[in-house]
Amino acid sequence: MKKVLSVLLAGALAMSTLAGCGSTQSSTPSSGGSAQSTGGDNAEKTTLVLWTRDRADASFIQPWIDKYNETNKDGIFIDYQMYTDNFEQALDMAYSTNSGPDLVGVSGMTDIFTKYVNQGQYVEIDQYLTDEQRARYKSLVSNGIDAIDGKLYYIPVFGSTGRLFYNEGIFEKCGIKEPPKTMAELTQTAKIITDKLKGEGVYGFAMNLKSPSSALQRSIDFIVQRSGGSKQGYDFGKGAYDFSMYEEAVKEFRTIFTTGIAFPGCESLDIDPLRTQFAAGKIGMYISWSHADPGVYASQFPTNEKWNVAQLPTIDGKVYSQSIQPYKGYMITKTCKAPEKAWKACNDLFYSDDFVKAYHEAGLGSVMVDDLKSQVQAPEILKGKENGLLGATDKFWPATPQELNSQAVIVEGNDQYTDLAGMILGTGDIKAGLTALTDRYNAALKKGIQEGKGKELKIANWDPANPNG
Amino acid sequence: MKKIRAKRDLKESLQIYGMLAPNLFLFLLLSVYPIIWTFRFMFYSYGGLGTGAPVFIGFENFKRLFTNDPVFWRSVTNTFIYAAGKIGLVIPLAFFSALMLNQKTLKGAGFLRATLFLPTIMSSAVMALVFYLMFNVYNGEVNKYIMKLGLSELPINWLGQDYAMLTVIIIGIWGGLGNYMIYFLAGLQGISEETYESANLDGVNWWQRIWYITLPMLGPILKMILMLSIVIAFQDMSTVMVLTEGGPVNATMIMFLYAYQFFFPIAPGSMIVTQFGYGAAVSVVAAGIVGIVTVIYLVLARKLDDLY
Repeated sequence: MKKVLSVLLAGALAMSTLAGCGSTQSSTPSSGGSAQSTGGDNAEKTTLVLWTRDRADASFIQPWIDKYNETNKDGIFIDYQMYTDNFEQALDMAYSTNSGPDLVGVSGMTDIFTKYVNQGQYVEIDQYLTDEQRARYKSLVSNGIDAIDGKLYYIPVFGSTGRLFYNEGIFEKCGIKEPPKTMAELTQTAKIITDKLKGEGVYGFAMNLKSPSSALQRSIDFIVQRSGGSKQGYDFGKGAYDFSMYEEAVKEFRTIFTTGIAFPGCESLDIDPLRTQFAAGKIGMYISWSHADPGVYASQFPTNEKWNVAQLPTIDGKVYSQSIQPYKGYMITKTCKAPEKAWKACNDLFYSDDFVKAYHEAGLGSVMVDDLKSQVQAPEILKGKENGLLGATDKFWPATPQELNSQAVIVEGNDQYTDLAGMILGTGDIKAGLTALTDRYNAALKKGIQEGKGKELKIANWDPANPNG
Repeated sequence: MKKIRAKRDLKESLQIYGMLAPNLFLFLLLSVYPIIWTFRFMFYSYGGLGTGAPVFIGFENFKRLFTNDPVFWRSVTNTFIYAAGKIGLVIPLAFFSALMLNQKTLKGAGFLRATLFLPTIMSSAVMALVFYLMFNVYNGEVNKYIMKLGLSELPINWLGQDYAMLTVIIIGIWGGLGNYMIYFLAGLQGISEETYESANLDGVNWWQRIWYITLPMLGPILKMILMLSIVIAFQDMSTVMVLTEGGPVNATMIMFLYAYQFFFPIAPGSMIVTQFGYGAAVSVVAAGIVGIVTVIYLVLARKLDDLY
């Protein structure tokens, strides 16, 4: 009897652990969204609920929305709501219960576009565009980024990509004339700084490796693309995954991180603590997003250090192109009861020339609308730091099979970034590790294709310098 | 007469069930339903809400788990290391703290009790951030003191691959010490003073008092504390999630955090795709492992009972 009781007790405890796991719920939206007429001050107005992942730029956007709400003559009121963590889970819940918002903001990550557009959650906006607008935004239409099968769902008026941020004062102290152009030069430059200034607590290079995906998406992925390689490991020329091009970049990073060149503790460093140390003049170089970091040193972590922005180094110095991440754009959901008004709000506010110019000039994003590029002034915080803006080698790249449908490439074991971080930190043989990674990703893609979730994307005459042909 | 009694019994039963109903409803909704859900979906390929209909795949998730998922097995090893490290240190520490605070002559015992218990009621996620500031290698206070005391010439990378698990264990001990100390204290206060007085007359020393009187008399409560500590240590997750996210490179990845990330990817921009089906299989196997450990403990505990 005692035995039975023991087993039952153990079973109950195990069940309690299961219950804890299975019953974890994602955060639910504070208020469900749907276009509706509201009373009180907003009587006769149509409320459009907007969900975004806005963070650093929220203080810029809020006054624009407030002004629009006060002045528009179309009876529109935008209810601006911000999410940080669990944004995707909140959308999952909302969409599965038909209680989604009216508008969803895209900020950097396109996963919330591809995932839900495949479910039919968004309204295509071609129907609202004038011929003039179609021509204006033609260069911004990219399959898997803002369009699917030629249908456009939002306009990515801003873009962002990876850049090297460096401390000019430290460079001057060490007699370094210019930022590195190759990966070997990056290692060498970092070593010079560390060797010379380590005694003062200054190191040549840092990376936020606490979250390998966050660190390596903004750095090594762009370096490999820029060197003529694959996008997140996917080679459009071969129509398959191939991580071999990562070898040289991983080798150089491994040298930096295993020979005492790097800032100590990068394995557990988040991006904000890294930025604080850069602002304190303790880090010579690091890689981050072009749209995010300039603003950080103006408001979040003000600094007296003389810093600048450079293009990312490549493996051998030859430059092809690197992909642009769309930054900003607003999608109308299928549950929106007034899609025409939602489009009107987007068109009159978020896609308006005034807003786009002001946002760009505030240094929050780099404008991508062709005719506006010549009309905007360089942001004050990027004066003399023009590499912080998008340039000629920043281009839209096609979406990978995984970007088109994350469920199409379910990799067993570590994801690429955890494995790459391991190699960078000195685990295992790099060549063998990259071959194994290639094999695992191709096996996952093959399985996804067999299950009908993904498809091979092979582009004839693929040219990484002109990824959109 | 029988009829009246039966009627009264029925009325009482209805009253009891009526009072139990809200609890039963919540128990079924929040405990039983998720368990049934987990048991069902472990046989499915299902990416989560909005990723298409779940597809029944039989034991495929378990095949993957047992034959092709080295990360899970590393997380199992890490969980055992964490649990062993935490339990092995926190239980003796809690016991001796309770012993010390049970001294009637000790001044300020109340204050010390409150101080030691304080970590139990603090948010482990918030404290993980504070510990990050204390343990980080570049300007953490811990390294400053260690170097000042001459214990190390170079700063120790507490959150690096070699020491991250030790740091997580230290924080786990800090968080659990007060709780177990209170349990021990309750047990100690239940031991009558006369027992010690008679032992003193027999001339026992301090160690003999502990070994032959205190520990055997704490037996029942010690068993409960050990079982609780095993289950809690195997489920601890929030500190690791905030402090290291299971890294660097899985160095602190533990079973339930590994399962969790298949439902809610923890790192920004994570390429780990939501896999509710596989996550359910991982949860069930992880819970099974906790169950097996608990059974082994209960069997050993009973054998020890028989022995003494």
